[in-house]
This record gives sequence, C-alpha cells and structure tokens, in this order.
Amino acid sequence: MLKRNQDRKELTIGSFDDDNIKSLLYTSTLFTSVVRQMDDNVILRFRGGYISPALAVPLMAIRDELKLSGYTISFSIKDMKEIHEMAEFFVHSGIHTTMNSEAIALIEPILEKMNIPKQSIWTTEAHRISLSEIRSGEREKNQLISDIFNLLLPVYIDRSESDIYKSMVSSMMELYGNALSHGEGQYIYSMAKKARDGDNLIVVFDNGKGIPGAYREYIESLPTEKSKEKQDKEIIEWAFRKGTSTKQAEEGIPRGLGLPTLAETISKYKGELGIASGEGICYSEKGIMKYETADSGIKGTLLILKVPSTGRE
Amino acid sequence: MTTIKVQTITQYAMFEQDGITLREAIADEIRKGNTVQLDFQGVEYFTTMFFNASIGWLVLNEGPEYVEKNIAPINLSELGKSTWDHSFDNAMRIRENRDYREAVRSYSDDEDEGE
Repeated sequence: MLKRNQDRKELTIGSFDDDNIKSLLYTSTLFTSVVRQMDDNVILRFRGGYISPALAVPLMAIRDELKLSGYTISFSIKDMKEIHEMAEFFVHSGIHTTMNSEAIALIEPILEKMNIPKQSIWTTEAHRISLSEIRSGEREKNQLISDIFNLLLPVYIDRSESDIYKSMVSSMMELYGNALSHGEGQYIYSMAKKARDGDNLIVVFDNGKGIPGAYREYIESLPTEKSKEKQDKEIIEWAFRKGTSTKQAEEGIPRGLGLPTLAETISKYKGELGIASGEGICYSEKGIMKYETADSGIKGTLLILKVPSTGRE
Repeated sequence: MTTIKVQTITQYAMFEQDGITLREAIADEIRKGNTVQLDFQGVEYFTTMFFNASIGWLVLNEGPEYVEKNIAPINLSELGKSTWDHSFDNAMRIRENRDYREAVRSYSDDEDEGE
C-alpha cells in the first residue's frame, strides 16, 4: 500500500487510483520514489546510475527533455500509462530497469567494444516520432525531415563540411525508413549527443518486430520448404548483406541496401555502429562487423552510432 | 533530350514515394521518345529508398541498358552519385537472380552448402 510520509511529502511505492501506474511501480525499480501526486501529475525522482539506453531513449522522449541522474521530473497520468507499457515491455523482454540487471549485459558488450563510456549516454534529450502518424499521413514528410534535423542538432559536425553531415542526415532517414517499412512498431525513439570522448553518439530504437522477427515472419510466409532455423545473430549478419530484404522486389522495387549502406557510411567517416535486436548483437571493431548472441533478447531494434566530431566544439 | 529538375518533385531525395513519382515522370518522357537529363541541382540528401524506387525499379524491370541509354544525371553530388551507384548495382544483381524470393532463401542454402 502507498504510504504517505507527511513530513517529507513523499510517496513510496504503493497504491494509486490507477492500477496501471501501481503495476508499473511494482515491476520497475527505475524510479527511486514517487515524490508526489498532484491532480493529474505524478512526480518521480530518478536515481542516477545505469539504465539501458533502450529504455532511457523512449523514457526521455516521452517527456521530451528528461535528463536522468538525480532529477525529479513531473509526468502526467497519460505519460505514466505510456511509461507503464514501455516498462512492462522492457521488463518482460529482458531489458530491465534494475540497477544490477543481468539484462544490462545486452548493451554493455556493445558499449565496451565501441569504447563508449557508459555514463555518456544518460544526460541528453530524446525524440519520439509516431510511426503510425507517418504511415497514416498525419505526419508529413517535411515534419519527419525536421525531426531528423532536430535530432542531429547536438551532433558536433561542422555543417559546412557538407559530406559527413549530409551523409548522417541521409543515414538517419534510411533508419527511419527501415523502421517504417519493416518494423511495424508504433514509435521510433532517437537521441544524439556528444560523448565524453568527444565523438558523437546517436541512438535509435524502434519497438517493432526486430530484425530476426521480421525475417522469421517472412520465412514462415514462403510457400516452399522452410529453411533451417537461424540464430538471431546470423539473421542480423544476413541483413547487412547487400540485396537482402524481406520485401525484396515488392511492387518491382529492388531493396536491401539500408543497413549495408549505413555500415559503409559509418566506416567511411571512421565511426562505429552497434545493433541489438532479438538475441542478436552486432558491433563494429576496427572496421570489421562482429556478431554475437546475447543472454537475453529485446523486442525491436536498438542501434547505436558513434561518429567522430568535426568542426565546432 | 528533356531535362527533369528533381527539385520540382522533391528537395530531399529520401522518400520512396518521391522516387516513384520521379520514375513515372522519367518513363513518361522516354515513352514519348525523349532521353532524360535528371538535374539534381539543389538536392543534397539522398537515400537508397528514393533511388531504389526510381532508377532501381527501371534497372530491375527494364534493364540496366534502358537506364544507361536514356537517363543521365547532372549536378549530382558525391553523396548522390554514391547512392545512385549503390541502387543501380543492387538492382542489377537482383535482376540477374531470376527468382527474387530465392535471394532471401539462398542464405539458408549457402550455409547448408558450406559457403
């Protein structure tokens, strides 16, 4: 039950009128405490520390400008319902919100192998774009392009050095296009910032089927004999081959270049990339892509790009 | 020769639907007996989705010679040219694999054959 400490005006995990919010707080230890509930707002205090970027990105995006680590943030009840859904999804998917969760290990190998300081992701803004709105036409193309420009505002790349910046914008659009056409998720979450070592970090997450999920669904749909079962890491490796796509030649359009082109672009500018989808992880190490199997999987696709800074400090 | 200014269709060569629009404009001119010069002046951002739906579709369905003989890009940046080439080459590879769906399944067979 919820206990209200009148002196501190602080609420510990307990009961609320809305069962969904209560359930969220019981299943998630992301929030240290609920500070206060006033009318339709809930104020949460986030404890500084280690949170999967997969969860951090959508959480920050829901609030638009949430900075983690010791902050007290106000969420509307509507926000909390969405956070509840997101937390449930991550808890059951294996990306936990607990401080010492074994699921963090899914992300740690990528960060370590890319030499990204763990703390570098946690204080920034994130963006959320509704893929449903794009599909239905509610969100126009120009708005999506503006979204990408806004995403890359913190990126330390001199706009006058045209090739790299325009390549990054184009690469982001390739990723959004992939999420739109393959993922069938509801949202795409993204953020970009400068890492402590001076490089630019871009994180993109969509809560769709994931690369292995989309591949298996496609294989199941084929009328011919099913192929031998593949591990998720093998499927991700397949996705990086040019010309491979689960939507190949639909409507006469050749496909299968999104991820290979992204990998080439990142390599060209001496950057690195890592992907987690299902139980598969891939990351670049000295220009070579490596593929591994994680201990636990995520639904959807998480992508982390590291691009050297140029120009302005 | 007819010139199509791509910027009149889109400032950002990034969306599949815009690629389809461009392709239809190109095909229309070629049907009239014209060759086409694609002027990319002012277009600075490119994705493979755009070129797949335009040039790629033509390579896959009409053949690479159709594109090489009838279409010439001008004022295309390095990024645009690189993306164009990727789409062109990819479409040609897929065209050479007659059963498109097998391009997906062949991955599994590759493993079985020890490739």
